[in-house]
Amino acid sequence: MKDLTRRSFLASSLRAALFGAYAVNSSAQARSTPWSNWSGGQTCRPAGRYDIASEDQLIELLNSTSGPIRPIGSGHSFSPLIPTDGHLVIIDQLSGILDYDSSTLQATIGAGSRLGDLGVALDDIGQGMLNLPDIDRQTLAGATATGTHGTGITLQSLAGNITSLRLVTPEGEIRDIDASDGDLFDAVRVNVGALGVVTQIRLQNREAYKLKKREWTAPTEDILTDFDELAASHRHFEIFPLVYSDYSMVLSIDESDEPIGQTIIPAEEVTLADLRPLGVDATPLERLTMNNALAANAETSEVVDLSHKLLSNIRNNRFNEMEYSIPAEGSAECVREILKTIYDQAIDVAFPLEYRYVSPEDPWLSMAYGDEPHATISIHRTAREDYRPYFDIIEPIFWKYGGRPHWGKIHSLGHRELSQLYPRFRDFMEIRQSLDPNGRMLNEHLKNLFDA
Amino acid sequence: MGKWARSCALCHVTGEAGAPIAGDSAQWQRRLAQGEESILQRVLEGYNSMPPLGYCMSCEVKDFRAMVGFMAGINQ
Repeated sequence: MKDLTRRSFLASSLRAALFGAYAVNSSAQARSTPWSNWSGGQTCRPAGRYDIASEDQLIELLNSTSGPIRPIGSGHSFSPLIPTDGHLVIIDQLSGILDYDSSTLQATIGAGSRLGDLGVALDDIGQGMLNLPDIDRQTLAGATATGTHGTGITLQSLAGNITSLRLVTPEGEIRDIDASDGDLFDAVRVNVGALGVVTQIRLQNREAYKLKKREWTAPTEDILTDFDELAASHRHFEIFPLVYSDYSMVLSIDESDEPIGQTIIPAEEVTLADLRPLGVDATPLERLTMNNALAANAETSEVVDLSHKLLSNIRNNRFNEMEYSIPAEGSAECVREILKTIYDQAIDVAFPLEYRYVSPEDPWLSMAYGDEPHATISIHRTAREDYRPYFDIIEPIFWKYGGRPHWGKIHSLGHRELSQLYPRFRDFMEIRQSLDPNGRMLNEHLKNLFDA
Repeated sequence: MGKWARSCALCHVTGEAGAPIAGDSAQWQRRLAQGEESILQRVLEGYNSMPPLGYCMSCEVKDFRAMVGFMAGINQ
């Protein structure tokens, strides 16, 4: 009992610290410790790291410094969006629910809020986010800026559910932006941190809800054949095609009124843990035989939980990832080609692929921008391995299918290719230029993306 | 305390992903036996599920040293 009491105290202290008003005693000071992203694949030694506690501090920082400046959430992007020898702006003090409306089911949220904490806080006011990405440690600002999405052919990304936001421009001007701002609204919802620093986001939510997740294995070809029908018949539906196998881990999630079940273990990590010992020194054919035997005997599992707990959680293994979206129609062929390439070239990888559909939406730089559903396909490599050889082989396959890269994940495209893939890319570049004429928000990677 | 609440506490309150729980001296003594510098190196570079800097993007080494001491129940 003593231990439970201590934990309860710690948990309540944490909640109070996270969802109270903006902290008032924080200072904006230069720092010297090197920065690294979540996977360890991106590093830098910035001139300063600034832990801002208010918009006033941010504006003061923008006005009192020169040189590059990059806003940082939780560092979950695998691509080099952050590294700079200039200044890092840390926004995680700008957190918590600032305002909400129980009739419209909207809430204004500090942009530095972590998704996992936000799920709990929204549940307390009877609201739930319409959809969530897989990892709950990301900040709302980082997840929306990179177009990070969940799963579901009828469900938009987090950015797609923004009804308004507050942007502090590189010149220190506060702009409150909503649909009445037209093009600017469509540009700023997925902004890659290139238009300024987002400090508040208002989200369209829904009433709090529970979900039921079902996981099983099935022959990949059977699922690919029926994928459109399956994606349409579940709120969320995705598969993790196992490499060196004819099987996939299949995952469906639907609303439920059943009692809450037990703890969730991310499906792909169960698969990884199970399959890793089998991959050592085995030929592709030996792997295929072993993996098929394992997958054919996998049990089906079902879990019921609150929506935010079931959709999004922590990752027990750090990794690097490449993800592209391609038009849903014909996307199954891309999955087949990647699996065949891994097998034919005997690429030493154990992580499954991830394949799912997302709803079309309006933000210009969304992976699913346009009128048609898109499929997203991901490949992974553990953080301790060199991802480049594997990703270099697979990335051209995505290009064949007209793939658009996820902004926060590994890719090698620049503005020339991106302007062909995103119909409003040049319009975004014009708005970026108008908001940041001196290019303060650009590091080397972003210059390659936007500085034509 | 604010920095700790926004970073370390994400996992070290509940023990999520195998993190040693704050205040559980037995768990922390096992780790401290390897040396405080070893723990700090793991914080800076990442270790198992813990990312580099343990989600505290504003922390300096002295902050991490204090946070480890707090969680291990050692006065700094």
